[in-house]
Amino acid sequence: MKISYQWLTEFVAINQSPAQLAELLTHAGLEVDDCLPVADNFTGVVIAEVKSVERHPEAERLSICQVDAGEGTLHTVVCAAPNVMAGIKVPYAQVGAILRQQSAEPRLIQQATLRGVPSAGMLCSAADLGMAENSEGLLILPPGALLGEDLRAYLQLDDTILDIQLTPNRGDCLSILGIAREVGVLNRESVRTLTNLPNPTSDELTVAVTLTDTLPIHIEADQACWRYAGRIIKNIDNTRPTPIWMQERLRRGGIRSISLIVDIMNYVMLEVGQPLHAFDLATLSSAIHVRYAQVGETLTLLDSQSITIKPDTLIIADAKGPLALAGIMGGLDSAVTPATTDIFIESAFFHPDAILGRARNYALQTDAAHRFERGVDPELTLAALERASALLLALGGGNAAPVQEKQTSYFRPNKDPIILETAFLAKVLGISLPASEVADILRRLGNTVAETAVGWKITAPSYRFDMSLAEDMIEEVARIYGYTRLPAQAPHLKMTMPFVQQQNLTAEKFAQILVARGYQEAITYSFIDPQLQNLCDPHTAVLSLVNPIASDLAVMRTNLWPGLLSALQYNIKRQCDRAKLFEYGLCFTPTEQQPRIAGLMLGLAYPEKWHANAFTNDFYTLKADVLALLALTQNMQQFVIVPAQHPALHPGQSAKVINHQGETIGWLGAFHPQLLQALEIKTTVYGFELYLSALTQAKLPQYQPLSPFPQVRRDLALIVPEDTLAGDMLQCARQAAGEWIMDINLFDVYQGPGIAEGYKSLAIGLTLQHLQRTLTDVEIDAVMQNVMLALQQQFAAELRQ
Amino acid sequence: MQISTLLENAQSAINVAEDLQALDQVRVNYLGKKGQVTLLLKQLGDLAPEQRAAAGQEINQVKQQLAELIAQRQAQLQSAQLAATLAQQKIDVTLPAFGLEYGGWHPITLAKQHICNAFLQWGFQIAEGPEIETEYYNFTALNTPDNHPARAMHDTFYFGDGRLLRSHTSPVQIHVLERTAPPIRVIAPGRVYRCDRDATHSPMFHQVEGLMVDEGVSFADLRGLMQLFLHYFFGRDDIEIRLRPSYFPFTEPSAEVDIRLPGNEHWLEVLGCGMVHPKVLSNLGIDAKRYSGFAFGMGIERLAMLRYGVDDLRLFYANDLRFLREFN
Repeated sequence: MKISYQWLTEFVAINQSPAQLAELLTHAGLEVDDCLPVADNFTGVVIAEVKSVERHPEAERLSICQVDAGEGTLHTVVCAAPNVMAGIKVPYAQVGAILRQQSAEPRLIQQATLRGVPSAGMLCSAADLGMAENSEGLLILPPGALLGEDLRAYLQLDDTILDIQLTPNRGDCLSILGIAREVGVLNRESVRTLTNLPNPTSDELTVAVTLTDTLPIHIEADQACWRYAGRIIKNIDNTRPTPIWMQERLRRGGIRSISLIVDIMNYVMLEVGQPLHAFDLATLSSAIHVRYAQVGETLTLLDSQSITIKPDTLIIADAKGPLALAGIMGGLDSAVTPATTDIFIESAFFHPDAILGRARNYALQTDAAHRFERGVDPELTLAALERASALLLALGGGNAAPVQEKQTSYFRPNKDPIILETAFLAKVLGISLPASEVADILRRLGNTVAETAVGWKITAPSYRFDMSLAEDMIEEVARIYGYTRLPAQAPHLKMTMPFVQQQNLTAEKFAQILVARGYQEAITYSFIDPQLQNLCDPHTAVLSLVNPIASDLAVMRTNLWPGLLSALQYNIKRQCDRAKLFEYGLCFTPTEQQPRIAGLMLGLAYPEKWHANAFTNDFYTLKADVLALLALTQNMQQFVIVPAQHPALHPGQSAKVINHQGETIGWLGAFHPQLLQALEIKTTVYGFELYLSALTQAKLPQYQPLSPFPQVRRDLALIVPEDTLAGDMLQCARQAAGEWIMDINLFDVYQGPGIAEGYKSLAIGLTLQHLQRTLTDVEIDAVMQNVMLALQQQFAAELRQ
Repeated sequence: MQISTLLENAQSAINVAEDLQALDQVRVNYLGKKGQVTLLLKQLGDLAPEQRAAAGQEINQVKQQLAELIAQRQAQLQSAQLAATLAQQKIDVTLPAFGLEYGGWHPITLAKQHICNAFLQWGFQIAEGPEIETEYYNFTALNTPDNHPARAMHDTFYFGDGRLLRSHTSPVQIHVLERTAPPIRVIAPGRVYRCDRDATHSPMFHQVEGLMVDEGVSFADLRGLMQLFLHYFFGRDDIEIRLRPSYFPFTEPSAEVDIRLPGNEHWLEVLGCGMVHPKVLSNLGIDAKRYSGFAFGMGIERLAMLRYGVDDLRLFYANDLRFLREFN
């Protein structure tokens, strides 16, 4: 809501500067975003008349003008504006004037020569003066403007616009009158009322009823439209220009001037908050109906857009059909035009519930809907109609017919009384405020207040739509009393049993492991590119957004790799050649939201090194990281990592993690070369992902006795067919070794000279120990024999000679 | 040979012994089974009985003296040898380190942890909720019925089936109130989504929601806690803090909290808060006459930007490793 400070001062006395007022309002909950000047801070611009216009001999687009600024002599000014013509009055920046376009350097207007013609000063457009973003031509002033008068004084440009960010509960503040009421409450000043509005014209503002014309009003949606008033006015001259003061006030309120009639409707809306609509009487048939739309009814709106009206939408109609979307926008066919002379003015109370969300259904945002959605004072209907009528008669001529009004049984401007107990007020705010001060604040806010034994009985004014509970009143009291004056105290706490247990595994615990292992956390969007999603996880159903912010952020991720790979790609493009990235967060399918953690690695395991042991990250370094994560469960034995195929992974270098229930709880491997190629990544990248919903609890560790007896280690060098899985062999060996096995360790894999083609050599170390005694050689040999036998039977393993 | 000569010879032999092996040879020569001192002792029997005692005493003194000298020399040589070995094992300790490097947390996570730590110490617990929500949790249960203008203020992402991406962390309040009886103290950090993207808006960002419900919780408690928190977060108590009236459908009274850092001219909005609206409580079957509470919500990005001096929101989502490593 843009409010002219100057206009506001006509409604309430203000002792503060605009900046101080902004601070005051902000602290009362009406947040002032910005204080804006209504024009640039220029000097030396006066009103002048263009006496004659000649084409510049050297330049087609330039005119040579003789300009009268009221000093008795004429100035020659070269002008490029297309709308320059003899007889118009325009702003004239004299020689010596200073223009300051907002961010630019001040510009001193000097005597100049333009294509050989001397030019003394400059004729200005609204944009030249900071009164518009851009202009088509010169700002044309009314014929009555006084030659030589300073433009700042004439247009009262020493004004400030307060741009107020109103919260949705404060529909009552969507007008000069509303803001003035608020200022009055805060400053303890009296405020103009509907019966006492300032007169911006030089005429007396009264409405003489000289006609008897009527248009019957039928309210057929009595719950939605409590009250509908209208009046016929005839013989208006809508070709008269809107007075410059009104144009300026509309402009400062952010509304474009259209025609006298429309401008007056908008002016009254800005002034008192009642949206009004003027119909061209000539287009209306016998009566006005307020009703919900019927299925299939259509309307061409003021903005020329044709819509099919939904049955939940309240409309104004005549016998022929819809005329307007009630409280939202008028129709094109019944709109006033410059030629309009006779109108029907509508002033109504549409209930917020009947308007809420409707404009948005048609992708419309209008000043009227904005106000009706938030609540327009039902007591404003007649006063606003009278105000608009008076302004019309004064500024556009015409003859008025009597006001017609219909009220329905729902019309109930008086609110239910609210009981506010003193004790409750103190309990909520944490302080007992003096009763007299509370009552004073409540009264200043326009409430009717009666003292009771326990507190106050309060009736809110008709313009407040956000007052129905004692809490609403407490907020008002606190707001006006001043939040900064209220006490602050550290809360007292009762201890409670935490619901987080020692064995709970949070995502952050897993993340901590990765950070310690050199991974850098990334945070990527949860919505991703459908194409990348399809490359990474083509077989999982995806959830798509109806209104994505961009086509490449349109589907919800089903795993974390697309985001991480995109982040990696970004870094590779910036000369990064080694990276370890991880992310944790939710992944989404149409039915589930799963927490996951994933990482990927690229390049050398350590920075390029002087050291001999530098090596490249590979599947096995990745596997170590995965095992470190699984180790958090303190129950590693429940997991196995087995070869498996994933669309995003290299078919020969991929595996899945399975838990003891046989569920897949994660994946690891090298990314598929085709996927990397699609991302223009030329190096191998390894990645893993674990499903955290399967890893929520660690096993509570239980002490196992320690053996004081010596361990024995025996090694086996075995030759097996080359496709034998080491993991299977180790598992087999462990089982065959029995209960004394403490550790089993694969320490060498060899293929090459000395080993037959199609075979490989594996070296396994077994560590044995007994809890109660030293193992004998005989016992150990027997164990080793068992192991060897089992490996022979299952894998055709032979001892390497 | 005079015993004094023997002693002198032995002393010089000990002193010239250059290593432990040579020294041991000297020991064998004098004190070994066939050593010169041992021989002298064996020859004592040849002396007249009256001389034996004095001579024996003298020889034993020499023996003891030599043993001490050898031990001293041995210690000397051992220490020289250790020094030589240590000198040999000297390395260039300024060569770069080798091994796993430490990784790092995203600055948003760092800020989130910092925020959560404060409240955890005050007995709040972490709560979580889904990111895909229904209209009920995101709006309706938060006293924001259909078509409420406040819904339009959140540019919400929809899935077309009544579900949406939560536009704030406040729905976690509802989940907590549904499953927990007062006293309640929770904070809920997490991702939130709004259909808005420019230099100062990201379609995905992070909030931390807080909720405290108990008997006798007042607006003064809320103010007090917000002050404690902001002083904790910025690690200083000279920050100016002001509460200003505002509006959220699910709190009343509501407030925005602004801060002004020392030396700064402008106030910055850092969080929104208020007393839980009685309708929110009573809709969930909590006796709003007996219990009261407050809720607050803050944007992690804004706080992280202030704390770490980040001047461009978009840096948080580019995941440029150079940027991320600045926080390690």
